[in-house]
Amino acid sequence: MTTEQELISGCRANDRRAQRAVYTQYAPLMGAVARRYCRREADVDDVLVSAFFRVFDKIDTFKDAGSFEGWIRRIVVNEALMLLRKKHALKQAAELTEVNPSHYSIPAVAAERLAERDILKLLDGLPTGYRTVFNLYVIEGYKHREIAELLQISINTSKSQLILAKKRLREQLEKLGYPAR
Amino acid sequence: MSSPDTFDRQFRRTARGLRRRPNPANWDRIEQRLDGRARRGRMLGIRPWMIAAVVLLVAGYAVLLALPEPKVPDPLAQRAQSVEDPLLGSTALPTNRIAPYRPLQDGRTDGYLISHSESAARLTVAAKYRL
Repeated sequence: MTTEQELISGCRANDRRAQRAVYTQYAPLMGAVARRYCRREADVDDVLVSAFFRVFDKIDTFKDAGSFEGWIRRIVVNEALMLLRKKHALKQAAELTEVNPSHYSIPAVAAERLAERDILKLLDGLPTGYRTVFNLYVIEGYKHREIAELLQISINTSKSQLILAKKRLREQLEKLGYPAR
Repeated sequence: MSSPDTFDRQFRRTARGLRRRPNPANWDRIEQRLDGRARRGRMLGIRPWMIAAVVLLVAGYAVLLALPEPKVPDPLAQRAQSVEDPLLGSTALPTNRIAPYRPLQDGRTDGYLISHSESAARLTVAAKYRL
């Protein structure tokens, strides 16, 4: 059994078997990450190919102290954002002036019962801007300041997009039969 | 990290559990790009030591060009200067290029010439000096 450290060393030595092993191990998880950002399967594949090429190309910059999976995930997210930016999918961003987040909160019980298959259905139902901010904030755990920098939008726009995403999600949850109120 | 509410936490947990079967063609595409990178590197054949060698060569050549030329007196230049100086109205005295008179060493002090190459019989006195 090859350890993660051995795989990383193999990738640093440009060993094709080690690179293949890293790809085989992380591609299913990273494919799901890319899929949350991109609706089209072809875009998901493009993101995955670019991201893993970058992983092997920049393996020397990986610090052994951090999580290898987390490092790959960040690269995949960055590649997905680059693709969305290239397609001008992040241009439209609304900003709310007055909003009460409690109006758009969703009960936790809805998420507890949420089936994995419905997650993608819900995310696909969101406009790209909402979906991207929701992904970055809720799933990746970025702060609004970081999201604003990543997407080159204001912090308020990031917050507005999240609230609007949750509002839309609540409507969709109701349609899917989940308790959204 | 942000501080997610309960719904966010649940959603995050479920979403992070998702897996997607990768397209089998993806690995071939990645491998192709990795091969292309390696081939480009081999074709260019550029290594850090090569860059360093080129930089050293260029720097050496530049230093050689920047060095001042050695001051060797040019005889032609000196000759031209000595001819042109009087024309420019220089107050310096012109160099006397005619050697000072020195009496002939050959012959005798009473005026008789001695020839080393002609016999005495063939030597004649010019008509105007004949008595």
